[in-house]
Amino acid sequence: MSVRSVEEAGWREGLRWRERVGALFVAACQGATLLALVFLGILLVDVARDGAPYLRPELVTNFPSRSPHQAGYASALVGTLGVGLIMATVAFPLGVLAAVYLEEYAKPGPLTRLLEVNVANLAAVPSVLYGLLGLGVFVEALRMGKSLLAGGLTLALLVLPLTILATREALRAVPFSMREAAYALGATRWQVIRHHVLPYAAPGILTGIILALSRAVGETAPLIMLGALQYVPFLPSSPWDYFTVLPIQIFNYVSLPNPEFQRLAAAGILLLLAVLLCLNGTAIWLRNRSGIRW
Amino acid sequence: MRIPRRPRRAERWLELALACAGWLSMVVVTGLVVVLAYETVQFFRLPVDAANPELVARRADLERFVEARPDLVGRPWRLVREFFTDTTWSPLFSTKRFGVLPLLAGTLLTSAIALAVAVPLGLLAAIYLSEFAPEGLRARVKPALELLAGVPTIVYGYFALTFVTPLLQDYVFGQALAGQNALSAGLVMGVMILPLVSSLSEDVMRAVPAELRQGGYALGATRMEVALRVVFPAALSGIAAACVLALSRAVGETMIVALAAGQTPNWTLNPLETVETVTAFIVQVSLGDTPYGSVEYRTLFAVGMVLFCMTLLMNVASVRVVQRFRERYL
Repeated sequence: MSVRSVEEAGWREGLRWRERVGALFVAACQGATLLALVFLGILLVDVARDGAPYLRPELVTNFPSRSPHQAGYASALVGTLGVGLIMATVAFPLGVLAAVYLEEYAKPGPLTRLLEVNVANLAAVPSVLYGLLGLGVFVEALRMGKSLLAGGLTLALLVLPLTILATREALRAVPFSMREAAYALGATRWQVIRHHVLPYAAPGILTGIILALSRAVGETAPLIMLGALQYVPFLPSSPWDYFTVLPIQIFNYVSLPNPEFQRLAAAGILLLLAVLLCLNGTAIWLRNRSGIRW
Repeated sequence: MRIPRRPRRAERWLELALACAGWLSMVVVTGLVVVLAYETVQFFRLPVDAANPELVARRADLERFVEARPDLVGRPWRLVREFFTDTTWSPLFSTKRFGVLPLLAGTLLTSAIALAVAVPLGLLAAIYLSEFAPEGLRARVKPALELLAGVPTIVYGYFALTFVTPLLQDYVFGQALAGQNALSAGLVMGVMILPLVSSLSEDVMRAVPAELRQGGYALGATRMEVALRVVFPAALSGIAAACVLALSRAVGETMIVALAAGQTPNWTLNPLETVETVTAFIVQVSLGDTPYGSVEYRTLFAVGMVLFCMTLLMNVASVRVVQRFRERYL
């Protein structure tokens, strides 16, 4: 046997070994991916199993109560709706306008660059800190108290950077030739944006807005600072009222020692997930409907 | 034919309004920094306020402060030193010690456990999706993984407290595991930040040009060798940035640790014990009554400032990592 064929036999042996290791590696990769998905499955099944007995109409019609069998999420649901409304009316127009400015008007330079870095950093600030900002500015300095209005404005600050980032992404996807065509017909800058860029970017912007909204609906930490009132046995009727929201009500029930309240919390989680599912479903529907391909 | 008047004048105003909206984010950041910084200074001025008999007479919380810590009265620098070096944090108790280290240890411990879960699993998932998975499967699995990031954190907190901890107690650790502990909070938090690692890493690995892979195959490498020795190093800057971002998310995460890790500051690195993180302390204080300007109110912001600095540092670091180690392909 020549030296060469001995070498080749060794190489073949090595190759077989390397391929076996490779197969194991692929299996490990698959396993990791599967593990994450299985975790999600277990989480959903566990919550559904815990919460199922409490899925009844009283869940959404009753106010919080000392007895788990009579307690419900009525004030929390309305609170979530109210906070969401205030947040949406403040944050989304401002966010879209800011993105239009950054994308269409701002001249590239150090100042604009600073602004962009700033938005990115703002999006990465932990949400509790927005709570502290809201507490210091809205509740104390502007004397709004721990009210629906302060909560809505705080969440508005939280979703502002998310809205800006999503809107910019959508604006950037509109090809430049669209703008040039409009300019060629004599449109002014704003007319180009108003009549051409924004309509084409609208589905993308809406998708981003809905995703930001669903992030805010699930947000707990910043609102705890703004009056996580444990016990709100009435529906808020004005922006100055005390309020509670779904996640905070859930947090409150989880912290109680009675295991029945934990079941009630699980039912509340199902309610929250249902709300989020509706929002995200709308977002996906919007994304699929915008069949424009450039 | 009607020739429309040119609406230039009005557009000036519009442009101004747009610019104002654009600069609003700057105002928010400035507001955040100013509020945090102002109240942090107020926190460190506590000893100065405590030295003012008129103020102390008016305010019960200051009176308690003076009673508990006569040694600090009039000595703000001593409070500064205590804040950064003392290993007991008990501003809500009558002993009132202000060492922030136990809270930092809690944050560090839970975040480290979370990263130990998220980085290996997330990277393996990213490699699978980008290098091995068939296109159809990838298109389905990736959104499903991202669903993990969309679940509200309160849900994870509930799950860690009522499912993971009892499970670990029953089958692994027995009663050595506290009812609220760093381990289960960290594990669940790891799954929460997993999609952050996997999604971003997968994006950068897919952006590695196919020629590099083909070059690897031409030299006789197996698929695993190409994935680990060609694609992975080429995408390393983006992967590192993803990991740093995931860490920053873990450090700022609040509800999971507030529910599952506990609300007792603990100077320990034992994952089986109850610990309190910086964020959990903020929640704990906010649940109680915190009148404006009280000792508790000021500690909130001092601790918040620490959190802000940590996450800011990490976000800047992740941007730097990308700029420094990015491989450019033409």
